[in-house]
Amino acid sequence: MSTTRPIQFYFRNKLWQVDDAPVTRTVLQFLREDVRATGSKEGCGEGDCGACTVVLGELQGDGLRLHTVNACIQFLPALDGKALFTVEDVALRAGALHPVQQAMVDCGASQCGFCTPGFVMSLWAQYENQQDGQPDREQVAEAISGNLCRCTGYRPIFAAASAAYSLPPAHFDRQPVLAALRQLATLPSLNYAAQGTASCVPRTLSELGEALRQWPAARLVQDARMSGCG
Amino acid sequence: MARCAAGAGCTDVGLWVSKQLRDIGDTIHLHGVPELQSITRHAHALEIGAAVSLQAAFEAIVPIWPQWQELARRFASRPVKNAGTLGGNVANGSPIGDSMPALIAMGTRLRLRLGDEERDIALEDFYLAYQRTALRAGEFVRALHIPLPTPGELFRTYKLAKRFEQDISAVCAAFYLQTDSQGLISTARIAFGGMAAIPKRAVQCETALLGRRWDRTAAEAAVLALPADFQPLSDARASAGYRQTAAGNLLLRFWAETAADAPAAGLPRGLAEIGPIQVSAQAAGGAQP
Repeated sequence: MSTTRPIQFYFRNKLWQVDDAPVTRTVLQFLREDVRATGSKEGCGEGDCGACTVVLGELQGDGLRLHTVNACIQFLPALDGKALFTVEDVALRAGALHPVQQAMVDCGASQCGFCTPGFVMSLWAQYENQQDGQPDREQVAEAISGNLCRCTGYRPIFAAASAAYSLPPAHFDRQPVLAALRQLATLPSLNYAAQGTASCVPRTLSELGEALRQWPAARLVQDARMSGCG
Repeated sequence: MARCAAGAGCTDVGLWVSKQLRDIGDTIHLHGVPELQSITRHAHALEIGAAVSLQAAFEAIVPIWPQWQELARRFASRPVKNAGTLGGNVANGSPIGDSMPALIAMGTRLRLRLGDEERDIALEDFYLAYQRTALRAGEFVRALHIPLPTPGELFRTYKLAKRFEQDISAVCAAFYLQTDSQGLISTARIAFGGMAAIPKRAVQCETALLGRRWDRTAAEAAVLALPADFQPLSDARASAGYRQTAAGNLLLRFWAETAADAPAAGLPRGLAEIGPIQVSAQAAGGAQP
């Protein structure tokens, strides 16, 4: 394996390095406690309620693939080489709302508001990934299948999911993100150690075999990468 | 073996940390290895790398096997399907992992890798006991090989859970039948989750079907054999009696949807109005919650 290096990822228009967090520090702990980005909420802490939903970006060929994950059960090494987006990132201008957010307001789709950032991220990922037309109801249901609302109810949220497409389109500039991800792709594989724990993200089967030989007691985290598939 | 290196989806491991406050020690993440991320359609099998997300795996599986559609939708929420993997679901070996009954019934084989050596194992032989698998120290699941459909086969998989998505199954079932040129059942693979300490084939139930025509009589004989295969537990999700009854009813549902003498055969799924199916107390294991 290569020498130790920090976990590196794209977040808030720049590359971040984390070199002092334990390997099981979650993305949500990083956001709320380290960065004080408290838009993402902790509800259940077990990947069920979706209040912590964030979006990860990865290279897919020449493009960018976005997908939602539960920040409460993702460990920081899973961010290595990726882009992280939270509810604070979706508005394109300060003081303005993203169409998905504006539609949530217009349709009365937020009441206590605790689940709202998660719903916004799920709808935002769909808005960005599917730019060739409005999703149908079943596609919206699938997109928000990981978000629980316990006071507003889902009808106005479904209405907001449609209404967002009636507002002027607003898509973020992908080029800086793509440039950052291409830069991250040139890094050696992650070999990370902090606070008495270690983690690695091998890039080849032989590196993985070597890591398992070196650390026979290590826990294999079988997490996914959306974009390498096909 | 100290803390074992058995693979597990981060959607499970995450909870060991967030809920059980477990120190899981050092970690090796699999999402960086391209060889584990590929989906390949071979002549006779669909190969799915162990780090392919559940979402991507289902997007490859459902066009080939539409019978997976409902399970794929109900398996978990979208963020969990984005982060979790089919390889992790299989390798973690939970007795109520939703993919394994279907994968076992379809005859899936795993390719395991230790150092530079690889070996294949049938998925049904992978599970030894409660959360114990055939993985040796340092060995990991590299890929799944699902045999492609063959003419005449009948296959269904069903998930019973209280919520539509994001719920753990009370019972998960999968049925696979192949008939010979005389129309007699030549292969039967029936597997359940939630009925035993591991995802498990219903051998007695299968035996009751072999050599018979796939009709109501055969289905009822198979239902009667089920209690010989399983002695399910009662827990927060379902009572033992519910599980035993539901398992038999799912088998009858499979008959109702696929057999020539069945009222719903040939109808699109979900449109069948077959009415309540009566199961004898004996077929249901005699236990009623």
